[in-house]
Amino acid sequence: MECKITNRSELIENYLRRELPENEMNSFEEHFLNCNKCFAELQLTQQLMGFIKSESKELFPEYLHISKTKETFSLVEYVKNLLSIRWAIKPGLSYAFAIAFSGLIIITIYNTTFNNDSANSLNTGQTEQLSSNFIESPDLESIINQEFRSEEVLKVLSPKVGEEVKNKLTFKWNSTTSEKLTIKILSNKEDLLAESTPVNNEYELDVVANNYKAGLYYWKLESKDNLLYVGKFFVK
Amino acid sequence: MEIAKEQEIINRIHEGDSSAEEELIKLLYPRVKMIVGSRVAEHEVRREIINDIFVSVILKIRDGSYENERESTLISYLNGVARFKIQNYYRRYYRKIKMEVNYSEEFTDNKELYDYIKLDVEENEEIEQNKKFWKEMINKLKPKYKNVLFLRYYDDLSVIEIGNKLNISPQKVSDYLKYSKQLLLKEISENKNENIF
Repeated sequence: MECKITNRSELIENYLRRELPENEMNSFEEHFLNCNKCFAELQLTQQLMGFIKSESKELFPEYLHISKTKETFSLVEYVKNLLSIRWAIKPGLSYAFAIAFSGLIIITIYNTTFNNDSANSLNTGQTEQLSSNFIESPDLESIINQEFRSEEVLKVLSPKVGEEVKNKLTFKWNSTTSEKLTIKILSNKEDLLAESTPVNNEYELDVVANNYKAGLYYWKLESKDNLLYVGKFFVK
Repeated sequence: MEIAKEQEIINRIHEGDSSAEEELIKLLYPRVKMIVGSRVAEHEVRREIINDIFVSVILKIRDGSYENERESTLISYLNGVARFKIQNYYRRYYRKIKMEVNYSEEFTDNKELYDYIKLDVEENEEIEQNKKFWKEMINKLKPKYKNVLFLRYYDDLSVIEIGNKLNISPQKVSDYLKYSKQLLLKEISENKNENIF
């Protein structure tokens, strides 16, 4: 059976990185169940990604100099490499430049940091709090936008996954089931913030009136016995 | 799978030919594993779901109900069953119900077949053996291809970021990625090392 896919490599990379929308993911899976060519390349790419990710440091250390170092970052080493590799300055001279340049940067940072002590510590505290509101819940992230029921039974109309909201957000869905559906709003730490069982398949959330802080939030649609949908939105 | 081949396997399974069941599993197991693996992280749970998928499909073919109710090809049907089983797992997971898979006695009596599905436990040993193979294959690539592979798969840089880093166009980066994979596939098929997968 001849394969008609033209953007195979790109499709495979997006699939393995889980960057495909659910419907495209399902289509591609049904395709590679049948297509030897696509499945062979998919397996190769998956193995290659895994192998390079896990074995590079041990087996290919010579290639790490062109990559950003993930562990200890040495400013001196970075500047030295920059000067040696990019501008072909002799190693001894580039080392001297690197040390001088690094020293200048450190002095500048020191002056800036220690002359703004109290302001910095307050900002650091606020920044930490703000960033913690955006941390994803691994459990909920893994089931975002999963279709637990077919579109004939439940179709979520709004909001889109990851929508940003400043004032009000309307949740809308079409449901042919006779079961009453409950909508629940959760923080990123899965704390229940709001719950409602609307009769008209619509729920409006006023994030300003309800004092929702900037951050990541999740929402669920549930029947009495089942979870039907999980989505997420951001408050800016 | 060609339609004629699919029908042949279905007929043989329905007639009680266990070698046909083994053939079906061997053919589709890696692909079903890919589908389940893309959605379920835990190794043990993955294996249980894959087993559940094959048990469901094979039992349905055996008793003739797949043919009687047939609405799609076997591959489409299998894909649907896989998605259903994965959704079911998440429904149970989120309601904190432990994963329970009840294998039909009729299925597990066929030990050789069931043991085949347990191949996964030997996966880690195979990966160790394949490391040497992968290193040799990658070392055969030219440096320009190796650079791009490492920046893409080790550093997770995008095509544009790699282009900026190496001073080449994003199109060239995409081409290098594509060619390097084609070269590796060609090497693998020439070495006929099918066990790499």
